[in-house]
Amino acid sequence: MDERLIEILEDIQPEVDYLTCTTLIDDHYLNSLAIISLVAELEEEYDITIPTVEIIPENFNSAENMWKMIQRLQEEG
Amino acid sequence: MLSISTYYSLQYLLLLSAAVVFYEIFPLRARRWVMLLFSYLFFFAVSGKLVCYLILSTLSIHHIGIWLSDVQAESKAKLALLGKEAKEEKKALSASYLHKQRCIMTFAVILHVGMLLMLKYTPFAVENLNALIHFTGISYTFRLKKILVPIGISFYTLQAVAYLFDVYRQKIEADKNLLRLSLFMGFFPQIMEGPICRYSDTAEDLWKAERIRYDNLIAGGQRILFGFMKKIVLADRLNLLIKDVFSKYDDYDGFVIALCAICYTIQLYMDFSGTMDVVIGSAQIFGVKLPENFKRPFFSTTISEFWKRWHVTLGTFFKDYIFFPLSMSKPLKKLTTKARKKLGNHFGPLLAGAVALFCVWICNGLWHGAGWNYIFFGMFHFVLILLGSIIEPAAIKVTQKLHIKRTSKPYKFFQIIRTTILVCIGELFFRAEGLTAGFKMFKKIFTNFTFATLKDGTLFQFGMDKQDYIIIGVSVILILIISILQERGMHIRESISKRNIAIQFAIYYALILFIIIFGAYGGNYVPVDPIYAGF
Amino acid sequence: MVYVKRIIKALIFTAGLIFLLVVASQIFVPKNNTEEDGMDYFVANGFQGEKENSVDVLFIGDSEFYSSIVPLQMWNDAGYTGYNCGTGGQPLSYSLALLQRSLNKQSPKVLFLETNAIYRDQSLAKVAYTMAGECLPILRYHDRWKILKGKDFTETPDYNWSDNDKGYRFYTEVKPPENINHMVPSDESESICRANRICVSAIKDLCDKNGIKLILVSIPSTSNWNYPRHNGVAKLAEELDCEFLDLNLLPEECPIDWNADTRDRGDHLNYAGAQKVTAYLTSYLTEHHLVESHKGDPYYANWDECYDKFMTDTVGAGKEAPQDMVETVD
Repeated sequence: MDERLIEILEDIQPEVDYLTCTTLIDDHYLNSLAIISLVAELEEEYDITIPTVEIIPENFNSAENMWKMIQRLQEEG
Repeated sequence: MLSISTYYSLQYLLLLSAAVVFYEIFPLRARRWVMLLFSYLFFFAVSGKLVCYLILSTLSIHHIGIWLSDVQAESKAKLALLGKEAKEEKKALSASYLHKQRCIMTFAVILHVGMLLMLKYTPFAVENLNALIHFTGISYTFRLKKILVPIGISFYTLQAVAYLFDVYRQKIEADKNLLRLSLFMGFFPQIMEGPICRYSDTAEDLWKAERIRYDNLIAGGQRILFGFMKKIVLADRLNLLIKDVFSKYDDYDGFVIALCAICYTIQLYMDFSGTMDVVIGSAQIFGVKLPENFKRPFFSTTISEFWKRWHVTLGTFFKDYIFFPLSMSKPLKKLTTKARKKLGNHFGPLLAGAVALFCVWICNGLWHGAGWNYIFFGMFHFVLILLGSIIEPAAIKVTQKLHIKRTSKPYKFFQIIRTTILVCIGELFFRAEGLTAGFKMFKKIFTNFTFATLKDGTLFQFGMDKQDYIIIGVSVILILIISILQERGMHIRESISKRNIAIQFAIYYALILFIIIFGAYGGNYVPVDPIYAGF
Repeated sequence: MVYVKRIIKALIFTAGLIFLLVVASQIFVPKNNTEEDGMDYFVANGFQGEKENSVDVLFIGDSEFYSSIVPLQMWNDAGYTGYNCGTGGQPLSYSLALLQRSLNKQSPKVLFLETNAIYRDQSLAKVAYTMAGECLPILRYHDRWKILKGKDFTETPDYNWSDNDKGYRFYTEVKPPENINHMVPSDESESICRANRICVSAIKDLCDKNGIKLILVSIPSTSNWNYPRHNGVAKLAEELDCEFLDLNLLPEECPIDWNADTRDRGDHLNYAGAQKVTAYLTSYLTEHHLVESHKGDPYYANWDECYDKFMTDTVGAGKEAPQDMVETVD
């Protein structure tokens, strides 16, 4: 897992343990606005484009899933 | 001849039972056709010949879906032919195919949403146009023939659009099987009032057409019974008061109006969530798992949470197909990146979010109906949600200064009550007979509030007596207790099924007798029309 | 094996439910046919409190009937015992229910059925609900939970109340209609909805089974009746093989003066009109020897008392019945 990702997440929403939490969306830790910030930040940081179809709870429920998505998009890009 | 206007009728129960019997006696391949036949029969009973609109929409998305997937396949094949070196060429090629797909999607959306707009909103548009013309002093009035709107169009159109978007985004494959797609669009329990299903939610279950399982039959039946209780005991009983106060609000003081706003909120919840119980229960009998539409919304601490728990499938539709696509569109994304650097994490995404949110709530308001009060209702919630986001940092600071723990129970309770009051105010405008009436009623709550009506018998004017209010109270408390248990993660129906047979029977008998005795039917009661079927 | 077990379970469940509903019905059914005991349409149901087998003629219909038939006039003139079971906006399903109820304690010889209700459309579901309510009174009287008393749990129904005026409602107001030419001959025939067809033939069957002569009657009414309706009912009467008297077409026998005999612009008749209608139907019964006179029979002694009371307390005192209530249901 990327440390930079955790930093970004903590910058957007502190008070969450991103290494263990797997219900970031389901338990409302990240709201819609946080997702908007997050997507913009991730796209800039990793030079990827996150299409709307990827914006589903599964991809954002945990830091690990986000990292998987980022890697996948990097490969595809 | 056969005519059904509500799920809470003998006709619906008979149709459902007939569907169950025929479905069960036919073999797998025929079962799908049985289901489709009953679905169209139901729609015909509800909307008559207008069933052709549904069939038209189904044929259209079948065709467009295949068209889209053909274009996608062609694009993939051509891209594969090009070597690794031809990067520029590849880009140009995929851009041109993307453009083609976009054109198809634009056409499809205009077709389906256009049909919905034309059928549902023409009278509203003409009315406002006429008002505008009169305002300019010209004495000309457009006349309009009455347009017949198929009930359920607001629901199945969204399903159709969602299906096409999912194909376009390659989330699902276009369905070449017309029968499966027709089942997805027309499945009879959900056609009138939702839930708005995604193709990936129900198509597979419907196609599998499994035999009816005993446990599903029982669980579905339980849920239908519970829905009947919500509607017949509560929603219909409250109708006497609500009908009267909303139509003659001038006669009543602020207290009665405030009470009525609360009662209407209860009625709306009981009517709609009760219907969802009947619908989801009916689907469960056939082994089809529909998405939940209500997640105990009155335990929400904020308005934005409320909308994640009330009419869930509509909310997620707007989120997935309007909010995120808009806020992730190129111009808004740029705005977010720039704003974030200047305004920080909290306020940065708010600008883009607000634009997208505004569109969502305009659509939400209009979806409920063509009328200024619905648009106001949408804007009311837009402003509340936006305000909630804007003042959140300040609210956190204030509570810290006052040493209030934001996770403490009393604070949460305060939030729940606050949210509920705001929701009730919104519903007051929602139900009011016109926007002006809504404002007048709202004003009266503050300018003309006395407890005098509590004593002078006004409350007993609507054909409701003390016992009616008592039974309303008892039922609300009963449902509240059940909701609290569910909120704590208890599965009520499962735990009933685990009890021994005598206790199970006793519970069913008690519920059935409760509905029969305390239901508001026959006599002077007038059942409320299914509220959401009108949307 | 599992199947059989489940079917047995379902049967036991259903049997238990029916048992509970029957028990609940015994508790919820009104213990007397009075308003306080929660009887539905208690005035029209007053015949249930009459002496056994004392009512020979039943008038079942809507407000047209309760405004136009004076049973006590019929008693005084010819000694016939009749009861007026008119209720506002009565649907035919309730007419059928009333006929069924009458058979418990009475054995009427003649049933007059008002035809206006034949054109009051209703759904089959409504008919089913009314009939289910007759089998399981809990369905009709469930709202009585508000007034349940101790005796509801211990006593069985004993109906002994009756309306002094035998269901007739006295009105004297005069309001002539604008158009009195409502019976313009026509070949058209208004169609009758399926639920009502079923109800009328069920009434006819029940009458045949119990030796009751069924006669369809159209009370004069300029706003409710017309030729296409006459034709529709005439056809129905022919199909069912029963009598049909359209008083709208009998100006000689039943001479309604529209300037004096209606109380609400031709919708309903007033007392003057009611006397004419009653006189005609009395002579019709006599002419066809359908019922016997009970004048002088001690079993019917109280009918004379009722007549005197009617003439002094109602007609003499000019005690108008309350304005028609909008009774939408049943």
